[in-house]
Amino acid sequence: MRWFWIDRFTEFVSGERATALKCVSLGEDHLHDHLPGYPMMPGSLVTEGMAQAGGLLVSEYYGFNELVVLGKISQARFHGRVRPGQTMTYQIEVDTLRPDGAAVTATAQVGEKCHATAQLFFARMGDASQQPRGPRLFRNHNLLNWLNLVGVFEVGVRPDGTRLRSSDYSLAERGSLAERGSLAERGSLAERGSLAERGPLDEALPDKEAPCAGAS
Amino acid sequence: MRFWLLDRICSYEADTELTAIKNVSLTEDYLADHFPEFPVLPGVFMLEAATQASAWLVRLSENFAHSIVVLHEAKAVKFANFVTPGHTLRICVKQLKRDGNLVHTRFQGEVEGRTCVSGRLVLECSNLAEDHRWNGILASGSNSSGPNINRPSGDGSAEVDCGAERLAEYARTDQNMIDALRIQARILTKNIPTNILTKGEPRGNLPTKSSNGIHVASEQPN
Amino acid sequence: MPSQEEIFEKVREALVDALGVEDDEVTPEATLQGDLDAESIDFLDIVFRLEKSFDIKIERGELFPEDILTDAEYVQDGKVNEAGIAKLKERMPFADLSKFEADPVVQNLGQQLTVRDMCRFVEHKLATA
Repeated sequence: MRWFWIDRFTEFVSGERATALKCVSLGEDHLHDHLPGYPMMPGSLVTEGMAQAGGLLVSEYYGFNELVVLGKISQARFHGRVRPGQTMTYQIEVDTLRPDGAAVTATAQVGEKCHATAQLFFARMGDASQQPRGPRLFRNHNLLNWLNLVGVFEVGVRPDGTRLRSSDYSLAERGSLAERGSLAERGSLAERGSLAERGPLDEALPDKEAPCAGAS
Repeated sequence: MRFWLLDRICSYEADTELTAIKNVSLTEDYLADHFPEFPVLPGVFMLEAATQASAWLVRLSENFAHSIVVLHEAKAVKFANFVTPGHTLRICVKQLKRDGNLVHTRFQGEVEGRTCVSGRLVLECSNLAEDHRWNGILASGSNSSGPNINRPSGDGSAEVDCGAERLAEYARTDQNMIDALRIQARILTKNIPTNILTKGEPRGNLPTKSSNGIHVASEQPN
Repeated sequence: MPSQEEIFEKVREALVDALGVEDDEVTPEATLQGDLDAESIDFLDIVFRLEKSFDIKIERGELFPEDILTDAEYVQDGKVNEAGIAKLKERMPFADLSKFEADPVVQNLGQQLTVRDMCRFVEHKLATA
């Protein structure tokens, strides 16, 4: 199970609102247990879709420099059932963006029918430039990859209509292989150390930090 | 990945409370994305664990009278602390009230005495056969449901034929779901006496088992 | 300007919705953190609801001056000093700080904030708007 609960944005207006789609497919494991013999989307994962769309909207407003996590589901309500083959449309509206956190109102529709409404609160865990107050969640290239997958830079605009571009943020600095040059340019594995020391090939040139190991 | 967010039901008292645990292990695949540098149980999985615990409380208390017991509303769900791999989330659910087919619960989840999640839930109980029978009756405006009734069902599908044959099919689906859930319950409640799993306190307005084992809708709505 | 009773009703509604508590748990004397189990993320929710309900703007630290409580000039050994208490009184004219003054341990302030203090805060905001 990948932890991507939106498939793509169709609208993304910085600091204001976003629209994202989630296709529901029998190819997803969880549907075969929820419920056995009658698959339907669980409310918790619909909520996560809304939270991911809202979380990226909030995080972008702070230049993706902030750690933004879901702190509270003030209310989430569900109507009817969402079945395989259906597509949900999540609409997110920013309610408030404050130094101490952010709130969004979210809805999930299937066609014209409202399936869910929610109000979500996000905690901000500190500006990276001022010493983050919490753990690091993503490496920049993980986040950039996700943003590209869901089309933030394909549809994203500021309120004045100017396009959002990945180069506007400091995500690429420690970033992708494309930026750093190919493996062939940077020399053989034997020169640069073994995989065991450096990590898998699909990561950016790893620095000497400890690998992801569930540090709390 | 299996969508089983509980590993063991530790105790339960019908219509009152239930406690269960969820182990978090690095082998769980969603942790690779949540988050790559800091794997933690997602908040909504804490919510799902609490939802499943509440659903089991309902199912065990009413002897699996409903095939579908799902989240209708979540309120004031707060995520206070992270749950990292190698730790066990203990969920305690208390039933606040039952209002027809809606069951209200309050829950708390903790790791080694530290609260990680808390909130309130409302769960909705239903059976496919009952849903579609009532949809058919409401659509026809009469007491009998004939064939070719066109009305959106609870799952939003466009047209539903609520004739007797179709209803029997839904009833079979209900039974299949319940059979699968009973097996899951046995795995989760390994240490709880089996007589608690099979005995329930039947209520007048819940479906009863007919002699051929298929749940038959009662005359009264949920 | 709404009456005190109207203010209390709206504050109670905000707290019931934000904290998931029952109507009868929200009494004027009930403490937000102690009796109603409010935490920092809840304060964000509560502030948001009060802003919408009363059409007011509440800045960070206005309801709960965490900046004073974390300032070394005002806090020594986990207790708020005289200067700090004076500053708190200035920032929180709506709150009854007498109990806190008697034992000004930092954690106590949050623990002692009551529903009545919150209603008085709203009255104060509406009067000075």
